[in-house]
Amino acid sequence: MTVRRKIAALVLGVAALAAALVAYRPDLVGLATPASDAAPSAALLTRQPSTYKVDSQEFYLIPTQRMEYKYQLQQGATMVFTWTAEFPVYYDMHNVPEGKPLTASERIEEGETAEAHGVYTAPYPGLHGWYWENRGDDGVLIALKTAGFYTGAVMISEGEVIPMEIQDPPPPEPLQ
Amino acid sequence: MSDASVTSARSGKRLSRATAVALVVAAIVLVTAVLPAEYGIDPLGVGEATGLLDLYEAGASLGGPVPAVITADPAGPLVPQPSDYRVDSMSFTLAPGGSIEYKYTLDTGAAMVYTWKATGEVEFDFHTEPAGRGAAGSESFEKGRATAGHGSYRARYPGIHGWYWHNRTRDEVVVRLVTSGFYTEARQFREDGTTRAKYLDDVPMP
Repeated sequence: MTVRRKIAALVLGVAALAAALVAYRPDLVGLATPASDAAPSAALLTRQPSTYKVDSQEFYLIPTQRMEYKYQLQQGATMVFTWTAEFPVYYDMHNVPEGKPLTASERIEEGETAEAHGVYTAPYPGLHGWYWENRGDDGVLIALKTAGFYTGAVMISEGEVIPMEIQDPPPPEPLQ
Repeated sequence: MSDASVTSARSGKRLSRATAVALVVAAIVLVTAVLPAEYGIDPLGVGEATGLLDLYEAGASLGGPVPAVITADPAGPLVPQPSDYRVDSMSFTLAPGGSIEYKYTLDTGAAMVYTWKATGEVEFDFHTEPAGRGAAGSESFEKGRATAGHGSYRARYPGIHGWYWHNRTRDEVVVRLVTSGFYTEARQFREDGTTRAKYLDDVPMP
């Protein structure tokens, strides 16, 4: 009995220390993967089979109006983006995994801002982009520009999905 | 009271004492190491004394300056940037045997998308020079022979990141490069040892 209890106490003590270790360095005990090989997004150089595309759009939203604009990206495909609004608007960057309905979206981030810039790498194939809503009392102009390895773009407004045209990047300048 | 129950009571005490000791040890580790290193909370100042607080600060500064409204994991799908991305394009005419290097300044987490095409096969090497370490710290990400390359690149450290192209054919080859990304400057390194910097201004919004 005594021995058994001693063992139990020892086990509890070891468990508490182990719990502290897990909390402190989860990577040491294999509970967390290092960021470098966690996701395809973490790959530093990703080769693509053909040239990237560019797109730039302007949207005018009247008060309470909302819309979405999304890009078709394969898993691991990257795009760079910049958008600005005349004053802060509510936004939600999210994606819709391929083969799922538009309602099956996963949020990347949301907030209220007048500009956002960044690099986005698709964690899985699907549509990836933004929802904007004008919660102000005046109309607002939103300007978006992107460059990346997307294969298409769609605008979703009033429940209607409108395919958009994307462009090749401009031709290079000659060496001066 | 029988002997057995005395032993049982005693071992019960030992059990609770051992549990208490384990909990105290875990609490000490939590307050002196886990909180300073992981969350930047250092109630006793031990994190500062042992340098564990630096671990938290190092982790927090990895992503570089980001706008207050956006916080995201640098290893996640989205890496916010403080300002507009830039666009650049160049053409290089390489004589037989000629070569050129063209690199962009990128901070940690900054990315670019690129496309290059050559009129003939060239030897290429996409490599980096970490800031402050120069060519000695150079790391190659992709090399080979090709007539085109397309992809995206995300910098793991600040420095210059780009290509070396070498024309090993007997004919003149023109390499055309187009990129979009979060750089502010490009540098051209010519065969004669001269360097040219190109400052890339903000691209006006549509």
